[in-house]
Amino acid sequence: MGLRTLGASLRRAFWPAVSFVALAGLTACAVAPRLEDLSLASLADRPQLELTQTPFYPQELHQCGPAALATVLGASGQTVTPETLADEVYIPGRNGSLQVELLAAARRHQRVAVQLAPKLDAVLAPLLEQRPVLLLQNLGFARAPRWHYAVLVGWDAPANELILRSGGNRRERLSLTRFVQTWDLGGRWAVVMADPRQPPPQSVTARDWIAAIAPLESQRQPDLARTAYEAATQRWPSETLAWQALANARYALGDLPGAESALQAAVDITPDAAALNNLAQVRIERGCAVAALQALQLIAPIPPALASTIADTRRAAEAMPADAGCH
Amino acid sequence: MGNKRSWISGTVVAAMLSVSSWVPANAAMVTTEQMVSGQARDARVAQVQGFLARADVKQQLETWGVASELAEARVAQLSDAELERLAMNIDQQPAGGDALVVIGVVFLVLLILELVGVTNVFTTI
Repeated sequence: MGLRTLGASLRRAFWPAVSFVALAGLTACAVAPRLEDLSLASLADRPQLELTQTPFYPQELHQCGPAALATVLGASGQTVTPETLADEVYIPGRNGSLQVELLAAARRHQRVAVQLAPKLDAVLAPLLEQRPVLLLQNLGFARAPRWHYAVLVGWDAPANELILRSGGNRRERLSLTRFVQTWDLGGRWAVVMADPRQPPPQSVTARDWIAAIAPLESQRQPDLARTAYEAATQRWPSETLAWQALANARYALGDLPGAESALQAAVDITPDAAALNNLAQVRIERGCAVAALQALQLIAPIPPALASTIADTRRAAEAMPADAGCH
Repeated sequence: MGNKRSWISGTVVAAMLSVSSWVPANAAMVTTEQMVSGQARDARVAQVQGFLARADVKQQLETWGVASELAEARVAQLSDAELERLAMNIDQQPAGGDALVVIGVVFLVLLILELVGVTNVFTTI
């Protein structure tokens, strides 16, 4: 307690000096960012934006993870209390919550947290779709971090400020400079909540959407994954990964003809080794040995990581009677 | 721990090999998680590593005061790629919690020296 008081009074005493020096340093070596300079076109039309409907859960001590997660889940239409989420993400021994556990907890509540590109405009863009953004800040220093989750809910371009739900503060206004500093030190991590049954958010990439959905496949929710991948193939029809992912979900649900047609679409875009292997496997299970071997022959070169899988598939195809009929 | 590990991995490998000898079908699909993880690896090796990582991460959560049954449910929610990320460096991962940090005098002096440009302690990495 004594130490803490000492620390607090020291901070009070030193802070003006530190902030003065910090300010001097900044103006000397870097140009402070301005919202108006961002390439996000809508900033010109919407100089001020705030998602006032976003719920607010004032955080308990160290519990910014559960509070921030409850905030974005609530905004996505899924009401869960921070108390419930604390059991799913809070780590007493670390006084905090880990990023991957936040992602996993979102999936528990039928939402996926999609990673955003580590750029300022990518983090602002989801607000235009009424989606607040969950992000990690480091409020301390690189060597003495003070990790904190907050939720971005708005911007004010004329004031060059961002608006966040943060800790006990319903409407924290943070200068863009300070935000970029803390977000930079936090590794520029930001995610947006999405309902896998709805079309993907405008500002996410195909790969990030699929990466967010993929864990649903192995967690006994392949039907939810299939819906999300179908939306992905509609949004990104020339993305081979989307078709491959859709094929895997259909395969997991026992839809072999559906899996085969999706894989055919994938290899028509790029003759990817994983897609060709999976196409061969599906054809084997449909009894089409000759067609399976044809797919395997198109793999060139064989990636070392897939060598044993491809060898297994080839053995299975060769072991089949040649006159087996496709079905 | 080393013995326990090798015993577990031996059992898992044996179980997988025996399974794959009579059900080759499922083993030969490349999963979406493998495709997006950016670290394509042999599927069987990945499964064994995933199994070990799950045990490691669960144990670490319990050490940090998470109740055993909660820890069990929490690791069950993690994908193989997420588990692997955690198992590698769970200690170094940021745990967002807005913990109160008492800034020492030495640190402040260092910081001021750094900001003024006298030293270059904090940018070495």
